[in-house]
Amino acid sequence: MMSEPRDRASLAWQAFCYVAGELSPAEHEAFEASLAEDQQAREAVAEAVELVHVIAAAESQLAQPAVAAVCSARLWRSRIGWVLVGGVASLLFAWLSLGPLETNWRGQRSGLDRPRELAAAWVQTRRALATTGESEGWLPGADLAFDAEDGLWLHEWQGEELMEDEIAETPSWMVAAVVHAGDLAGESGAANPSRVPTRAEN
Amino acid sequence: MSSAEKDRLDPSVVAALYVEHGEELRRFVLAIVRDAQLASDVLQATFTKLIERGHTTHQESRKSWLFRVAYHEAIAYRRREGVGERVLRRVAWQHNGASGPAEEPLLRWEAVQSVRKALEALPPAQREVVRMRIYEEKTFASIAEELKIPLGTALGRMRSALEKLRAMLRSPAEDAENEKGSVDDERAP
Repeated sequence: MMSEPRDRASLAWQAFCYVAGELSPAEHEAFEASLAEDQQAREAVAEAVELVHVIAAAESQLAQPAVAAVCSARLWRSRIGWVLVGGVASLLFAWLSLGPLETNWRGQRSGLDRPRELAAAWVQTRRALATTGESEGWLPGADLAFDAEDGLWLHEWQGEELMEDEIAETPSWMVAAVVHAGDLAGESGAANPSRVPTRAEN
Repeated sequence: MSSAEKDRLDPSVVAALYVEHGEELRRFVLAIVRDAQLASDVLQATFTKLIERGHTTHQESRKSWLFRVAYHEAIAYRRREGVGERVLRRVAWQHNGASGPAEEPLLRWEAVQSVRKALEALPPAQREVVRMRIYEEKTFASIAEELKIPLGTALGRMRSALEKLRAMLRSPAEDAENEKGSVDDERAP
């Protein structure tokens, strides 16, 4: 095969296939043997090596803007996620600050209801974060996924899949804070229903 | 002296092989690695292997063996250099979003730019095969399977694309030389 006259294009193609490891073992051996005697084959190999590297570098450059775009999108998603967290935290803070007063003034809600509402808000926030893909940053190592069959949010944690209600528990410190705030508001409300508790009392 | 050392080629044989093929090998390696110092290192590594393993080769196939070893050594050196280049390129890109000739010592910067433009001008089907084969390092068989096209079609697209890209790789000086050569050929009786 090597002794046959070859035009430049077919030699270049064969050299590329040799460099790329796409020749059959017999073709590979024959081409390799020709390198010792055929200066054109050597030049074709050198050119093929150069071409492969240049194309790889060019492709790498072309891929960089795409990577940058993905990074930028992730950055923005991250920012949106954290803005969302901030917003929800502000709402929780406002609710914690004003909710107990309002409910005690009206006498319609007990302190025991609030942890359930808080847990619902907690779960809702987690879902909102999961849709923006920010649960990782918020809860390190965790991923939320939606189980379409059961309509439930699943949580993959160290290879285990747990149901939402098992993992989406409101932090105990937050429940304790709400109950404590409710108790304080209840006590002060009983003593003087029109009195607003001070920050120091809370 | 161990038996392996005893079996080694006679130094005079190695020297004779170097005198006979050294320059040819150096030119071949230099064309691959495009760096004189690197080419010397590759040549040295090739002859070191000849000293160590030359006795296992047949005398008549020694030249072929030398070229084979030189090629593989050159590719290995180039790959090692390439890893360094990629790290530098990534760091430079992260710092200032730019890459330039200094980061790619083994590549001609203008060639990369020309090929990049040519890549963008390729028909999408050809471009896809080129990207999958060279950038993603997939075999033609897996490319054909993934794109659900016959293997021959994948090979044909790659070959057509390479012919276009190869034209971009040639320097203006080479082109001028080729043109002169073709004019000389036409003038020849």
